[in-house]
Amino acid sequence: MSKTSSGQSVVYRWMDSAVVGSSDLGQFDSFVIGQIRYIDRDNASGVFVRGSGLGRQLTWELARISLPRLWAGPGYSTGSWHASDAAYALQSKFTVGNQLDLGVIADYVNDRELDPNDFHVDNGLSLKPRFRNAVVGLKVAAQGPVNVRAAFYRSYSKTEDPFVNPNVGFVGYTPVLGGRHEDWAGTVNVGLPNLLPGLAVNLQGFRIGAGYSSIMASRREADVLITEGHDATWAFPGPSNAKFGVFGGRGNDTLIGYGGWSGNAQQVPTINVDNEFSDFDEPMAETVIGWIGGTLNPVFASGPLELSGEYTFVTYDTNWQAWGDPSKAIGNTPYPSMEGPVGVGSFRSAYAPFQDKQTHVAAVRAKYVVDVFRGIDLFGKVKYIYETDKRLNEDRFLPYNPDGSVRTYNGTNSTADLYGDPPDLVNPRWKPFRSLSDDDRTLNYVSFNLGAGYQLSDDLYVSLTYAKYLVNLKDGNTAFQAYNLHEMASGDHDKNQLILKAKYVLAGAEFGLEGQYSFGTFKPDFGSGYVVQGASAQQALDNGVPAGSPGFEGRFGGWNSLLERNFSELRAKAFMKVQF
Amino acid sequence: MRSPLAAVALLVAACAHAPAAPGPLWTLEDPAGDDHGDGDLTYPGRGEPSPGELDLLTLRAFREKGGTTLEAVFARPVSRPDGRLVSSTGATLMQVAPLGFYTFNLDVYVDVDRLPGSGRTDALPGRKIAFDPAGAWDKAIVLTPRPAEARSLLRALWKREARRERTGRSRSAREEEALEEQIEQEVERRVFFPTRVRVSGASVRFFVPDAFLPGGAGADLAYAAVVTGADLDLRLDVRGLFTKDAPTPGLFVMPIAPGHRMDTFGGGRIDDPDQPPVVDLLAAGKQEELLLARPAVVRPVVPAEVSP
Repeated sequence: MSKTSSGQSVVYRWMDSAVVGSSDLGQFDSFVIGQIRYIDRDNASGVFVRGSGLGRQLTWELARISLPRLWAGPGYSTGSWHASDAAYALQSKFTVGNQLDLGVIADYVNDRELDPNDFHVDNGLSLKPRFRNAVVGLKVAAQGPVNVRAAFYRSYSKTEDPFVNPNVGFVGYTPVLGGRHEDWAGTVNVGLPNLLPGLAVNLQGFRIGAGYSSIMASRREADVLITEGHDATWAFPGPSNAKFGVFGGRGNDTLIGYGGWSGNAQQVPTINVDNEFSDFDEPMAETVIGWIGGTLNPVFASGPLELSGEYTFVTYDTNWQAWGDPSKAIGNTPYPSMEGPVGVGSFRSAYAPFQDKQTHVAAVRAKYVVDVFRGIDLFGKVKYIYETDKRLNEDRFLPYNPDGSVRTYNGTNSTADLYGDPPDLVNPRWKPFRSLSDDDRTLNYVSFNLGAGYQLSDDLYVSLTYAKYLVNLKDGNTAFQAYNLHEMASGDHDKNQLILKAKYVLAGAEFGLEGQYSFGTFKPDFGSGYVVQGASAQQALDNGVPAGSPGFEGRFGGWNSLLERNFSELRAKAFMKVQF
Repeated sequence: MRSPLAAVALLVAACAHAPAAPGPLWTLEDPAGDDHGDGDLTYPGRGEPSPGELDLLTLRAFREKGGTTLEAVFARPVSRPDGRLVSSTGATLMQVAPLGFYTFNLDVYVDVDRLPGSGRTDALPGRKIAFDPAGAWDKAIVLTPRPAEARSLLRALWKREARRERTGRSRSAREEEALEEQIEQEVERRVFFPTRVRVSGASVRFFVPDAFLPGGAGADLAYAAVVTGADLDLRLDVRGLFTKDAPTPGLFVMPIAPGHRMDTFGGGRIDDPDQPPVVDLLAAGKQEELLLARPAVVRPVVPAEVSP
């Protein structure tokens, strides 16, 4: 076999390297194929071939990735036939000096099953697609006094009968949309690193369509928007971070705890968000499917002081009525709503049947190093979120006519299936849904934190932070009932956190300790128009409230207490890490 | 929403009134496009860092109250750490590299007294370069993503080196204690790891107090700048625990290896364990020739003799 001067076989000269085995996929793109958590049980395996040309100005990579079976398909599964399920990827990058980068990336995901109707087995069994997904992305980046990066992605996804029902139902839990969808996503980033002495400004515009779908996109491990987004301490709909907590009992209580996860959320371009198998001191990912908006982010530094700010406006491509298709029943939709966008936060719920939502985020962060001893790090942040969602905002979708008869919005279907009246309208257990404002949501959210850190010795760093969250939330009234599925969170929340962190390095080993004490209150305000009830003995037992205490029983029998709630949680994590 | 917008506007307005920065004390230029070590170094296939990002173009010094601010300008914008998890402990890249950069180390070696034979001739561990005794360095400013850990590790590595030099010579506990104290002082006196760092686009500015470099970084001192890729992982050197002659591990340095590599620099020479993993070098002489020599010997340059 002939060889090149570098000793490389001519046969393989066209490629730089080939990997057959595992990869964390970090070399691709969060919008298309995202990095997979490297300690994940679902590490990806495949064949990866890379090459280059034009003096490495042009690079390319081809890959065949076996689809991770536990999440990369409808119903968090790739079905029962796995051997041929794969994602095929191509990416290439062309660099023109240091000023211009051009990139293209594409993937095609094919999840196939044995054809259940192929009874002629003499010639083997045929395969039929269960789920297909294709994404193409184009990227350009220009560097100079102004840095510009833009990326555009187009996606196609389709689930196939008879393997996947295109109707995911009102409470769908699946990482893909039912049926066939095409949509696009894009971001434009402009950086002005030296706008004024000490001042840099970053701008970002973004649009991630409601139907944008890439099953291999980053589920976490990425942050595709520069905004802080929401805070990770508010992870699930209930005031205590419970989902389906309105039904009480074990299994419906909080999974992560009152304190939630740490810091602000990371934004990922998928509904396949994964916060499982993570500790409380890790960041939380939230979906940005449907987000349209922009961020202004000035950063100022002068000596030991660094100040940065953010203003972000978000409207939503998912602002629609009756899932954007009033021809169908409310319970018939291709859009999985997961927990649903209710409560203070809900990280993976991109879709709701009715939405008319806007979000404003403003934040100012400061860091200052006090020049005493080894230097004391002071840091703090103030953040404000104002979010409104009118949800159902057309009369024709109201569940009942003024005379009390059921109203249909398309001649057949009615939202009375969702917002049914209480059995007794004279002494109603909950407010009958009669007004467009019954489900309106307004979030007034202020948080701030203040902390200090100090390098006690070369090996030991300690910090202490106090964080406070003050939230006034109107999340519909008892006619809405958080889609009948979750504890209502309307009212005033006051959450506090004390966080102590220590990090110690010794001879190549790292030791860490984090302790958090979270405490706070929730004062419910569920509006009026219903008769307050007393908790039965069973409701009291299931929900941990005194028998006879005030509240109301919802459509599905769940109990919402009107008592003020007091929370406290103490948790700690200690670790030692030795890497060889 | 008026008040948050007003706050942002106020921030911008406040910056607009910031005083203009004074001119530099000195400037050293480095050729563009020479971020290839000895000529064949290639960047990791993963794309982090990406070509140009470690290509040092300019090193400047600005006098400030209480010290000197050095500014390094690279050919491309510096990659900023984000929120991705990089450790099984749950730490994010932003937490591991809190200074605003994570792909490079920049060592600035300073020959303060410019006396031949005065100072150290060994570079920091893992750089695999040496200094000409005529330009031995007295102080090093080491801009690295994990300064506290780097300082701790440097102390441990220099102690190990010192013990190795004394192999076969018995010493009392008091002498061992004195040795440790001597190394502590050597690190304190010789090496500074900046923590006041500001990254903006392709430039990174870092503050060096007069307490470390009395009189500041003047144009009459000699400087050599060495850019290496940063390896953020702190590793336990098992061989070093059991073998006295084990090679000294690098100080958070991304290695170089032959071929095209995914997570390290490629294009390394075959059977050459002493090849410096240096990506870019600002020193006297031609970079490629300096890095091809074994040992690779470097001599700092004096800005006053270079600048017009």
